[in-house]
Amino acid sequence: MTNADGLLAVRFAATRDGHDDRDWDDVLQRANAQTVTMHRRRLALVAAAVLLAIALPTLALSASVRGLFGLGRPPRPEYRQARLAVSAPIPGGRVARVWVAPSTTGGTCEFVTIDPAGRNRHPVRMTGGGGCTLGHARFHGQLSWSFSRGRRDTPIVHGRVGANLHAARVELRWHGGVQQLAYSGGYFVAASPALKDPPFRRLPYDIVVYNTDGRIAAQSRIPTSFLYLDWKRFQPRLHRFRIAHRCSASLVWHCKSR
Amino acid sequence: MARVEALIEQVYRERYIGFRNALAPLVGGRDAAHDVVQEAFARALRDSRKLRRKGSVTPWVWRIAFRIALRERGRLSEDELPDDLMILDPERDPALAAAVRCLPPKRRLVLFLALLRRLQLRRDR
Repeated sequence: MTNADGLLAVRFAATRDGHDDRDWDDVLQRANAQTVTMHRRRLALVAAAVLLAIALPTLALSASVRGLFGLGRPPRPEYRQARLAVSAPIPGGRVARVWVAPSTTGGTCEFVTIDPAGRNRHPVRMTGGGGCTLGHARFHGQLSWSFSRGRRDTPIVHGRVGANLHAARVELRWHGGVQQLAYSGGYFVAASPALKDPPFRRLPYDIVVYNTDGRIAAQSRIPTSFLYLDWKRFQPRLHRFRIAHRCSASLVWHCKSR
Repeated sequence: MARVEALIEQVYRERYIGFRNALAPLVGGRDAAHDVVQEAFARALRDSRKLRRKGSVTPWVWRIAFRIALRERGRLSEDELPDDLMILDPERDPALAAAVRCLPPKRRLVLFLALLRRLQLRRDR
């Protein structure tokens, strides 16, 4: 028995793939995105209950989100020292701006404001989401992103790219389409209607960073469940879609037809 | 909390390849398995407060990964395990692949769970 086990283990081991594609930064980013998404859903429920959804331009992050991490007094941006990183027009005659500012604890904050186009005031609060590092920490990682959305609003995607990637442009890419995101100095932002409950045939969605040589420097998959506000309703439909189009039974999308 | 997260990161660095290779036959490919493992460790980080014993990080994350893999297969629970497991590249060892095909589904499953998990639990070199 033991010998047979050993022999089989050796044979199976020989079929293994030793390719090392570990990416801890991606794990951290997913963990952060999951937390943010869960909280957004909670916010959406509360907002619906008290009819605040109409007043909220997006499901913005708040201090209570950071409270989820167990922090008593979360870091906040020093708004007076905020620097505009990049901006992009969004539907409804508004503009989304990404700001970078030192935090009240000596770290760094990145946040988004949503304002009517033409109003160029200095930020006084996050109106489109964002966050700060803990303590004195700086942002790290090659590519991080976030997107906010409400039932009525166009999703806004924003994020940052590590300087070592020498990024020249950032794209949102899906099956059969692509959208260039406004990019400047390591930060990107855009309103993307394509991210709102997309048809299944467009899946999956990726954020792709190109370097100055035109090569892909970094890429990050947006988990499908993030794209649908009512994921529990969409999940069985997506399952049926995958069967109907003979898609591979995996997270990677290879379909015979769609 | 930071200590648990450091442990999870350590497990990731030591066991990632084993986890990925163990799950690849279940989800149908290495790319898919990569996504499953990434997602599993992300959830482990998010739910790190639920970990009761620090010494059990590896099997805990493995269970998370395994459940995600099953869900990706469209299975609802571990009672509905897949019956079509196969080594990923049969051409690497045709005889082994043929032998696996001959097994009844449940025995095939037992074989994969026993051998691949054993491989998964070894530290990556």
